[in-house]
Amino acid sequence: MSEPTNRSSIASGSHPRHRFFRGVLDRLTIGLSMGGVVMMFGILLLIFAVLLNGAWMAIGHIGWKFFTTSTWNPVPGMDKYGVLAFAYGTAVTTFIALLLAVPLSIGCAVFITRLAPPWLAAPVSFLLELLAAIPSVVYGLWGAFVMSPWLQTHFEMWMWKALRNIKWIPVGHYPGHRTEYFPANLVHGGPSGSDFLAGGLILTIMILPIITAITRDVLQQFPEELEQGAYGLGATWWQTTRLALTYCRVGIFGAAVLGMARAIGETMAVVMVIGNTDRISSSLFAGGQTMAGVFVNEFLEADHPIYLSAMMYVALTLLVSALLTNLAARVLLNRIAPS
Amino acid sequence: MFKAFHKFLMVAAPAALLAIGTVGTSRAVEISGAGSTFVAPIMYKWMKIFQKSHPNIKVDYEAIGSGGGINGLIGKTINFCGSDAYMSNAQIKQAGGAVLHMPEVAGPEVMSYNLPMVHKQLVMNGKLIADIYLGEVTRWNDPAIKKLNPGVKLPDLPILVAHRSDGSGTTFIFTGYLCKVSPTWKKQVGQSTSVNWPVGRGGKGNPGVAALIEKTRGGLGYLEYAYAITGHFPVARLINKDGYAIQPSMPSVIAAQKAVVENLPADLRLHIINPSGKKAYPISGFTYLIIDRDLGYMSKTKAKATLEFIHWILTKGQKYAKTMQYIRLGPAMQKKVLAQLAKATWKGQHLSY
Amino acid sequence: MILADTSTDISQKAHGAGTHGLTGTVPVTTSATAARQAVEVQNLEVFYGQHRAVHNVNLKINHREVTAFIGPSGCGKSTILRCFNRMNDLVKHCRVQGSVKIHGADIYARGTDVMELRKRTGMVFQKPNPFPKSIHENVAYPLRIHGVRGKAVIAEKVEKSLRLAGLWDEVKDRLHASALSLSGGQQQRLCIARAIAVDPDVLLMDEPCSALDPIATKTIESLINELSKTITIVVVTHNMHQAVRVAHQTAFFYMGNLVETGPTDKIFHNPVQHQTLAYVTGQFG
Ligand SMILES: Nc1ncnc2c1ncn2[C@@H]1O[C@H](COP(=O)(O)OP(=O)(O)OP(=O)(O)O)[C@@H](O)[C@H]1O
Ligand SMILES: [Mg+2]
Repeated sequence: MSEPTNRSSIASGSHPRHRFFRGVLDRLTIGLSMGGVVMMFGILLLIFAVLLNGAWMAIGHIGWKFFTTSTWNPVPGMDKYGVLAFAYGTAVTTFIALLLAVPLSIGCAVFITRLAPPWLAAPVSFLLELLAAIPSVVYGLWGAFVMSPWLQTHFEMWMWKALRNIKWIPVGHYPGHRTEYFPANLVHGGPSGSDFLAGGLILTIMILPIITAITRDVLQQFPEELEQGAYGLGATWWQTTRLALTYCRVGIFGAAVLGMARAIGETMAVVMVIGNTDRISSSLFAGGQTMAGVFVNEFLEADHPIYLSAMMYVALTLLVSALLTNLAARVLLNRIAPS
Repeated sequence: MFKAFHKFLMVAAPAALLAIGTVGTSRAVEISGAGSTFVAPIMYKWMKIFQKSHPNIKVDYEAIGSGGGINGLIGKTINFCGSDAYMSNAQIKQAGGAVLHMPEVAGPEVMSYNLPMVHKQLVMNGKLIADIYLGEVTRWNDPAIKKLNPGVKLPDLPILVAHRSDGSGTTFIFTGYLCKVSPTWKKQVGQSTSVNWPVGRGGKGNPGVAALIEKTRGGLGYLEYAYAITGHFPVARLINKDGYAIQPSMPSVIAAQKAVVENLPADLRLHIINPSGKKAYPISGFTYLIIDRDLGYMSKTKAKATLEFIHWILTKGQKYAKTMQYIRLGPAMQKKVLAQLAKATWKGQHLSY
Repeated sequence: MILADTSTDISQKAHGAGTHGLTGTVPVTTSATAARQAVEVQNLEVFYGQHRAVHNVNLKINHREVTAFIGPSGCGKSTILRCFNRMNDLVKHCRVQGSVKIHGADIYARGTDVMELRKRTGMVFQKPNPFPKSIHENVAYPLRIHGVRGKAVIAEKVEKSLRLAGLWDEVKDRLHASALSLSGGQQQRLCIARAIAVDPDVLLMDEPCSALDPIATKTIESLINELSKTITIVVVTHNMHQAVRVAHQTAFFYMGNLVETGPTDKIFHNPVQHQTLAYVTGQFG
């Protein structure tokens, strides 16, 4: 930390007083950033404490069964709370979103940085930033009134016709002993437009801009010398691009993690299209629910103590799983980062 | 699908504009309420008009959901609460034991469906609706539906059941109705702001449910009257307790109020579910203004202002209900509610307003 | 003149360094291999938009010799060099006229496989630019992109290239360490190893030593001498001593024109043009 300061003050031959101020500034900056870190940590701890406190009653009453059951019945007196279906919904929709958004985003970013002529790249970039700024409730309404009907009558219909009779691998049984086969099970129940697939797709659309924007930024950091070096060895455009992508992989991975965080925490848009049921199904056409979704749906009207506490338990689960996935991402990141 | 989106905008935009319009003067007494989103559009309108004749009172209302409003009342952070569900005994106890429920307007609930090939208005009854929501009747050409709609050519389509996914007073009233007409429903599912739905898909808010219905041929769901009427969604006539098929409308809901007013509970905690009468529509609820019976926790001026605002809503404010597609209080009902308001005190003393 | 016997000098130094088993052949051949031309440039004109950077250049570069390009900054040395492997294709608004033949084939002819051309014409840049991969992977990269498969084959080629580049002994124990952990001189030799891994006929070097200290520069120079036994080398340099030490032939450019070309000896001791004399004696540039 101090070394560059010294060097620069020597280089500019600065007056001792300047050096003194620079020292104070240094210390101030360090102090402020340390303070920021401490505060962030404190806030996180505080959130955790508040959620834990709120969920305490539910933890006592429901315990581990919360994670192994999927019935959600908040009717006073019936009171059954299991988060499994919601956790499944979060996992499935996030997975679909990343599966589609990451390659698409990389494609978009490559197009903007390495393919499109400047007169096209600039407006596309601008559009991208615009998309990232649209509030999620607008995505949700668009999803419910435009995407979902289209999905149901076109894409899902086509997918259903294509897959419903393809039975390669038996993977289980439906209630009533009919065998469930892959991949026909993915379209079981027929097109509905309000399902895991719709939830995953709306998330894809929502995280696409942010992943693309970051990927674009890191791709622009790819050094000209390496580009020249690769071409000079006879690399094709595609091979050079691959080199650039490998060079930028850490940044791209980070972009994907950010996208994932947004997908896990997204509420309104998903709620508008996912069908909001507490069921677990291997069918992409089945209705489901995410943890963040159930929260935005029911929190405000959670009208008796155990119900409210169970909601807090959901929030706590969401927080912990978000922290864990981020941690896992960090570990992975350290693995792929160049030493 | 764009039509439906347009419909949504028609409903949402005026509410938003009204919300912007409520800017108050600075030297006024400020009172704040919170709760029901259902009542928000007319509440904003009331606030705006009330402001004109009462420049010294500034009302603020936050549509955070009925549950949130009730919590505000329990925590004494607001002066009045708007709620579509009345408070449970436990909640009243939490709030200190004595609250006053004052119905302000009524809101019927309608069964809306998407069967473009059927040109005649459908008729349904409580048992049928319960069976559909239990997953026992699954197709539109089921004999049970045919029987209620002789001469109507019903398609061989699955019924796509839609319900609210967010906790709401609307669901509370709807499931209350199903409990009343179906013992099975009462036993298996029950009544609450959210329940464990045996079948169907959930949509968030009226727009969410409307989107689910509109999207798929064969869709069916319950909507708030105001939303359905503004958006011109097709609605079914419902057979009431005495066997009459009733169109959801202002007269039929006022008739329903009349039917229950005779044997109202003393604290006015009720929904107008399955009343008898020739013209009474079977599913409507009140949306309530709830306050502490004794307003001692706020200043005297605030208490006065609160009572004044509520009194105004219950009297002069009623005439604005119609244009906003809410159903006003019938005269008999209004009398009962005003009597309820008269019970309010401030540190034991009755205030004039 | 001091510069007179540097060419013999260098061979001794390279030999004496003994780091990579040079055979000690003195690279002062001028006429023996001059019969064949590796590169033949005719009426070359290069434009950057409206600006003409290279004007009517005619030049022959001898097979398996070292040719140095000298001249003041901005005179077009790099531009011409980049015409030899068509790197100018990547520069917007750059237009090339005339013909460049490598081993008789016009590389600007229609249907030329540019990737194949660049494979046969390796390039080393001013600033060492190893990829952020391991040492091994850097040298393996050109092999892989040109379709060489098989771990053993690649490992063998990598070793051969690293040996040729005189780097093998220094890195053989850490082939899988990051290339960025090498010193600047080592990095530049790695880049040379990378360029020669696919056995190019021609090696283009654009000021390969300008970012290096004198010792690293010496090492690269002896490497150039050694490589020129099998590869035709064109090296752009601002260092006149370097040109004398490594080059058989020297071409002097001035403001986009080729002023004079000939055996290094002659250019430095007995140039025909007075501009050349002025430049090599340090009167301008
Ligand atoms: N990409 C480019 N776009 C426009 N003009 C260029 C470009 N590259 C080079 N030039 C111009 O072409 C001329 C020759 O440049 P070049 O780089 O070939 O010179 P050089 O002899 O290699 O100089 P130096 O010794 O400084 O490297 C210069 O006037 C330069 O400004
Ligand atoms: Mg140059």
